[in-house]
Amino acid sequence: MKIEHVYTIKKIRNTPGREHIAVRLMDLGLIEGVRFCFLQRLPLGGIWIVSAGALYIALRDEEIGEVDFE
Amino acid sequence: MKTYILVGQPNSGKTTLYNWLTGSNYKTVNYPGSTIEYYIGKAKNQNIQFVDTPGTYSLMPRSPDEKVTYEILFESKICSDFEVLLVVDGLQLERQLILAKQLKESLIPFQIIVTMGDLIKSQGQVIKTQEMSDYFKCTVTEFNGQSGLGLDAIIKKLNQESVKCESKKIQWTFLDFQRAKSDIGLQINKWVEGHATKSAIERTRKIDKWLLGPFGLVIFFGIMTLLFSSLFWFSSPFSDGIESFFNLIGGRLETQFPDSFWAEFLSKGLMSSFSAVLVFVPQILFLFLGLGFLESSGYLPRAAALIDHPMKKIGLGGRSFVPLLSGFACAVPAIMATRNISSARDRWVTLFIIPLMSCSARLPVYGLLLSFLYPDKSFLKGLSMAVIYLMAMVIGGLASYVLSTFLPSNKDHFFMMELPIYRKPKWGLLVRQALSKTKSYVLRAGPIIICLAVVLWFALQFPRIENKAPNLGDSYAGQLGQFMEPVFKPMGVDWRVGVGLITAFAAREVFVSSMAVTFKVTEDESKQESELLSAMNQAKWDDGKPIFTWGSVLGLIFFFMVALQCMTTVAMQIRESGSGKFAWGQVVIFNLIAYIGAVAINQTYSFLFQ
Repeated sequence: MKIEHVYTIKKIRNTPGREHIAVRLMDLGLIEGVRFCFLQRLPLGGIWIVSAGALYIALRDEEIGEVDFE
Repeated sequence: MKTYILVGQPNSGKTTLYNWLTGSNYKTVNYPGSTIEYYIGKAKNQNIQFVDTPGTYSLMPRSPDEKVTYEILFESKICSDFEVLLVVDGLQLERQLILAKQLKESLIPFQIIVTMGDLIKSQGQVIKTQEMSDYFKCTVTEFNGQSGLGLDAIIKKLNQESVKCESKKIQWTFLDFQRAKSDIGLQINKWVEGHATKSAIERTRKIDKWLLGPFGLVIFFGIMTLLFSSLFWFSSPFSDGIESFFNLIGGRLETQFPDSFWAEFLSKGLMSSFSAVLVFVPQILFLFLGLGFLESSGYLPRAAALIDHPMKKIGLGGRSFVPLLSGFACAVPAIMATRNISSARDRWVTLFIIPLMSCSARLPVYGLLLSFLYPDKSFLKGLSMAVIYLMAMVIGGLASYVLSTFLPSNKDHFFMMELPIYRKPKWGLLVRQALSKTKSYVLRAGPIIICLAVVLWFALQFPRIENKAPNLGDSYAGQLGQFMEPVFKPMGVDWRVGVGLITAFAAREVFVSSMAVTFKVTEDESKQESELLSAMNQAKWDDGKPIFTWGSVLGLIFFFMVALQCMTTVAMQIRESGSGKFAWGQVVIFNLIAYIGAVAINQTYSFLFQ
């Protein structure tokens, strides 16, 4: 995952047991075709700060893991 | 009466609009999920009421706070005749207007209010409300929460006639979301005129490079230490002023009426009780101011993100941070704030450890005990205060770690938190809100302090012997205290402190006023000993050893850090956890640990140093 590189969402996985994450990503507008970029990672391998249009959001690794992007 | 329900995504500006519409002064802060309960307020001079609801991302609820909004809209929790004011952030139209599509499908009548007008303008853009109105077939109004611009237009468009709302529950799939988003995406250019010349988020990103950068955690701990240490540093002159004022009045009363029972009661009973607690009010005010500053600047969700990774090590997530931090002001709203936590397991653990966070009621107790340990050294007092707060977090962390190992982990929890734009806090509003909270603190604690001071004073003055107060040990309070002294003695304190510990179950700060009453009465032969601290310094056991040592005082501090004495907290825990066993179990566990810990600290000190 490169900082400031623009990625496009291919698909939101709907992993069994993690449906809540998929649905919340969708609520936030992170769906197929949306372009986003990683802005920075918090210290000690913490959360990612992601920007998608006007959306400015903090996401965990496992939450990003539910997003297929290219 | 016509009802308007304010609905919108978290941090879209609903509470700000609600305050403008109703003239209320509810807390408006700059982080998502600050409203967790609904509020009802009436418009001035109109037959209209407004309901402020917790933010929701969609009309299909995923967390307890979203369920509150859902029940209002679909289960007629307040009334069945209503209209919705959909509040959308003008910078996030494409995403937030999905709610408008859902409201339409649910057959709920609504108007759209577009907020953040100042930021849209600063980006060099204009919202075309007429085009948006034509598309959604509803009224659209722009509103600036900072200046109130647009409020008159909103009020003018409000309809006072009730309309029956036949709402219909909806269930959207991924495809429905995708379709709605693409529909709005196609329209968005017609609704927003001009390209953003500079992004309102740019400045925020620059600040985040620093605050969330490699030194982010160091800055976070620095801010927290400064917040809690400064309580002593800033408030000292104000506290000294309050103390001098009460001493002056009390002294005058006694000089004016030298042998009067009632003058003595007023001076040494009532006024010293009040003075003992009121001197800590400036510290409480500064605590509320500091927390208010963090809330309204937009730093809190960042702090939650920063602390998420370390908190995972103790079995919690960053979403627990805001409720836990609120717990430093008061456990009751903090318990309610856990509704924002999606994971049931994390919510239970957070509920369990909130009472361990040092609430403002403990502040007077710590203040008194630290003043005893460090007389006239406000720098050390401030630092020790920060250490006490840090220790409270460590104890909470340990409790969370132990509890998490017993509870099964779940996969459905998420952090996913929107980071709001940094905004300059409005100092006038901050001070007003801090003053109002401090006032309600004084009003809540005041009656309890008066009642217990009266009861305690009379228990110390009766039974009368030849129309004079009995020896302390022969008074009713003395007899009861001595009966219970064997319980308190291992903590290194005598029955007078024991009476204070028992009365603290009514409200923690009463401990200080009880001490003021019992110790001043004991030592009233000498004027010099009228000060509580000097009375504590001079208090001795029968064998001449001092009662208050570092061991007994540190033990007391530990006792207050852990003990669960607040019955309002217990009632709130029963309501939010839905389990009396959980809440009463907490009372037993915390108080037992507090007692054992205090005994252990005192006994270790006595063994090593006496």
